[in-house]
Amino acid sequence: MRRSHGTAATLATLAATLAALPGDTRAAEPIQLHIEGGHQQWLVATQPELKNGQGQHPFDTAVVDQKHNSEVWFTGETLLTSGLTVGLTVQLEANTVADQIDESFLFLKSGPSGMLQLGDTDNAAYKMAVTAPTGGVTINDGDLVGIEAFPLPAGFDGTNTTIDSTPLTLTDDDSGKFSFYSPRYAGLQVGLSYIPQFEAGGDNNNSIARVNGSGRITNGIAAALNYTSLVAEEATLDVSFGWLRGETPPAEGTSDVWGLSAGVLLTWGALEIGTSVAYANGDAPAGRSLDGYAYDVGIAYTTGPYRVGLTYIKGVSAGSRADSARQYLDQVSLSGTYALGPGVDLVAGLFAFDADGEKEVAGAGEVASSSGIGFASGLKIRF
Amino acid sequence: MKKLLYGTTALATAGLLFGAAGEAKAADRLELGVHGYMQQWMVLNDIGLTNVEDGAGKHPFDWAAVDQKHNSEVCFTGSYKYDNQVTIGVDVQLEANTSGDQIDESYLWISTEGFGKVIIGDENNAAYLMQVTAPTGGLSHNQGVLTSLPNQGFVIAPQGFAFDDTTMGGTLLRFDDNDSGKFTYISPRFAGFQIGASYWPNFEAGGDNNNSVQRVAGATGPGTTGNINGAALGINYKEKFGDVGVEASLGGMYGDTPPVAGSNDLYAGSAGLLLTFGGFEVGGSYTQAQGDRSATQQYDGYSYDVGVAYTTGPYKVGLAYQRGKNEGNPDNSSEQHADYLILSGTYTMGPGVRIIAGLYAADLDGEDGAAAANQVKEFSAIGGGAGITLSF
Repeated sequence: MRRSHGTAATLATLAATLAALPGDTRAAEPIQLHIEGGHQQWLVATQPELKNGQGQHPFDTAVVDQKHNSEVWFTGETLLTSGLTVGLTVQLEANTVADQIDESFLFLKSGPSGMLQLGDTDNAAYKMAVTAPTGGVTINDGDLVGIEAFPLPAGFDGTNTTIDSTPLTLTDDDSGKFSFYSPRYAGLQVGLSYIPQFEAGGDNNNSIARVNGSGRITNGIAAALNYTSLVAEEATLDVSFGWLRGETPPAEGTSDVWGLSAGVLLTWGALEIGTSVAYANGDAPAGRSLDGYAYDVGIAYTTGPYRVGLTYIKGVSAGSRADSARQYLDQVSLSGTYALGPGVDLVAGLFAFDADGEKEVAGAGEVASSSGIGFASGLKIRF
Repeated sequence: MKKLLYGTTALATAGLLFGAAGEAKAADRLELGVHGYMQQWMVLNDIGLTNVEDGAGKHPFDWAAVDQKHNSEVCFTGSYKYDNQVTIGVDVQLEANTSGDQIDESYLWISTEGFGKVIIGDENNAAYLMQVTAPTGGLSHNQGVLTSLPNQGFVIAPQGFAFDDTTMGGTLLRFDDNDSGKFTYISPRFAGFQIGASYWPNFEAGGDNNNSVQRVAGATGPGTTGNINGAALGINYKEKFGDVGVEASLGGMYGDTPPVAGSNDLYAGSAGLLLTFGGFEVGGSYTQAQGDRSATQQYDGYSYDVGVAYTTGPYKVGLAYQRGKNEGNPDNSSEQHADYLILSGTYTMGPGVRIIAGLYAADLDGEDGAAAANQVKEFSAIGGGAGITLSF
């Protein structure tokens, strides 16, 4: 699932899943699946300035549009008599998409030993990344690109590059993998992933990665370090470092892929301020380059059921190796949230965007550049 | 649906068919629950003697020495017993990874204790459901993890192999009836015997197409992917003689081949036997098939498996062997061959939670000329696999 609830929620989820259950004396019981997930319905108003590859304006757009981003999750776990907890998560996209079930994995966890995850999910560097806070309309691998609040130029590849994301995937988008997350000691937690083959969705069980040197990125490794600590009265510091690498097929490029990321978030009472950065390098299949960088910075304030925030992210990616120009994307979000009730948030905000594609990628009917301002409001329901 | 992979026989599935009949229901109508299974595997492809050769006799392939594979489903099931003692249930099976056939099995069933059970919808046929096969230690061979995980099993398939739809994947009677929409009757068990029969108008993987057009000028129409007028008959026997348990099955299957595929209709027959004594299980099964699958492939071939397993407490170990042969292309005098040998074990960690690990040896050989350069002609290897399986 695309990140939609920001850094704090990500870390809280991870911390909760790593929590020990030493006092639980239940006998082992079969896993009972529960239905959870999230449902978002949006109203987006914008009238972008769109140009095609020939500098013309042939596009008509819906000034007021209706968007969505929803998932139904099947989850369950059981505590074995050995003290080990075993469980699973299957995430079904709640609208028809090409990758209908994007994440599907099982986990084993115990308090002293940490957690193992096996299956199709994000890597440790992605899951443990700290990013800038938002008021509710997220922009770091977030809502705006996720719901296609504005058209993106041809060749943009969202979270697989640094064009709109500082957490690292580099085309490892829910590939089948093995991950380990340590317990947290003195505020520190480490995570490691091994990814045999980079394959979006991870649905293909085929072991053949390459034919005549052409095929998939292989032997991926991700490592991450995450730190959270109370640094003063009512002041918490979250820090993350991430690293991801993979071997590029020799017939697809000469430079293996790798990336680094870092993030910091300071929470002082109701005020949050944070930033993150990512740098990526390497050749990907289909003539693409992952060379690029991204950074975000943001500030948010929460009082009772209300939250406001201002966030900016810039992403740059090399895109096609055949085109010397680069892809650029700038996004700003000034947004707020009103918590209507448990699991129900009303979010709304203004946003600005400026996306510029490569020179020779977009055709006559494709977007080459996109810029403008807009308004987005949505109901975010978690269940 | 791929056959559940840690059951020793398809009878386990047949047993489930009647399992819900006695359930008490608090609600006054049918309510669905969420069940299913998840398997996550680590597959070792490079333990020894691994050879993947293309049709030109070269080796252009790179494969993941340690790979991660899966096989999972989320099933929506429920049943309700009415005052007249008729129980009605539904079963909808969602593949838990993105799949071309996202919902493979989707059917309803009606049963009474005295009359038996009627199944209507997209489900395997009666001969398949009632078939007895060889036991395993946990890594399954007969349309199991070795060949039949989604997209690809542990082994790498040579060009032209259609594992589960020919005798190359095992002895179970599928032969392109992969959850076609059908009508099935399964009797109650009398004196250890149970019979089942299925009729399905169109052979169609997934059964999702409601189109009735079967033929267009003798060629396959949009309502089917090949054969039509399918029928299957299964007989199953289960009894205990002292400490010895006996399970046996006989099955037959028919399909009307489209004229463009050839003049020989599909006929297939199978038999299986499983003996249990204390913690031991020993068994085997055999299937023979003939008919034209397409203009370039026949069903003609055979498959058999044998196996022995031993269970003590939460532990199970087993050794199984399977061989398959298929004539392949009628214009090609060579054949497809597949041999598998598996030594594996299972540790049951808790209710529905198992760790399975084992070694396998496999030798798969496609027809001469079927694979071009950069297409797999032969695969042979000693490999291994370990996984965690959950059922819920």
